[in-house]
Amino acid sequence: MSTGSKQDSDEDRVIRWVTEHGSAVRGYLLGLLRRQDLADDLIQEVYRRAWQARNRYAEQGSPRAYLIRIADRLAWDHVRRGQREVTLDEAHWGEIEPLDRAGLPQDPLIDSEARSELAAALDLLTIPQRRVLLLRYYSEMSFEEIAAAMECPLSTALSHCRRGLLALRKIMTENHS
Amino acid sequence: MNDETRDLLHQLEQATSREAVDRGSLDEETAMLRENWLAFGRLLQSSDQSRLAETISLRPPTASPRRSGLWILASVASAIAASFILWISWPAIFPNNHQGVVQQPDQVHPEPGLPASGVYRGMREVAWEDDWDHNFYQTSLALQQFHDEQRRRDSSLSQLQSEFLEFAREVESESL
Repeated sequence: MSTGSKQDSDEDRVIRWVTEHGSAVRGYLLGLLRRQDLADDLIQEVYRRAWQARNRYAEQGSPRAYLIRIADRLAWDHVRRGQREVTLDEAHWGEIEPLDRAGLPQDPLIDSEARSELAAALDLLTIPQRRVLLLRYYSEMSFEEIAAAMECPLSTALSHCRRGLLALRKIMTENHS
Repeated sequence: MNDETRDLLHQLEQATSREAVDRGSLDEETAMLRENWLAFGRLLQSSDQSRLAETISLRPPTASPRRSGLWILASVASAIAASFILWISWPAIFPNNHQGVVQQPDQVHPEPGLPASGVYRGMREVAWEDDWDHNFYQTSLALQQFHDEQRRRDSSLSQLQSEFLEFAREVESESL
């Protein structure tokens, strides 16, 4: 009986992870890979792995960091396999539509502008810089944890972060001007 | 961790903190990094990615492309291996066919060293240059010889028996 209730709670937890952290996981994958089809495929894999490991998951640290770490590993494996990165221009960002946009009040012009600005900002970053900044933003991991996830020294992760933030200055300056 | 790394860590923790940071307490570079970080966060927030993700749906698992690729690769490798094994073993299975030569009836010749006349003539007429056929032929010849010898002995015995029978009949008829 206790096993059944534990199983129920494990399953409930994964379902809760989809609703609570799905946006962050997908945002991370989209920001890093810049391909919606790939992000959609990988998010399935992230939750498949989370589901398979639901009985082994120990309540240590943030579930969001746990999920994004899985997503990061999958995305980085993809990048390392030499898959070509496709940079989305404004038109392509415009094509990214939610499965059901009905009932989401928003101004399409503002959305389109924001997406094109984000695309321009991400273009300024190298993949490692993007990785550090997106990990920091979405997973709220410490820099030590980010360095461990990236399997690099802390100083390297910090250096990528600083250079990335400096690179973003260009787009911020253009926006202000 | 050396001092430089520690200072950089402190600077970036301040610049990327989620909590409110008193801007007056930051040095010029850290303030600039903080500003860039906040602008980057606003872009991520407003680029609709979050709202897109609210509608994510999980699909039932399907065979991954990698697995399909492996199956195709394994099938091709199996086909190549099977072809190779067949090619290697073809001469052993069909020893006469691998050279593409089919023996014609006019190449058939009598087995040398056998009598050219007598009761075996009919059996000798066909003899192929083939080990199996040759062995079969020799065995059949040996059996035929054994059979004929037995028959010869039988005929001698039957002649002797008929003579005995005639003698017995004469004794019974008291002709002797």
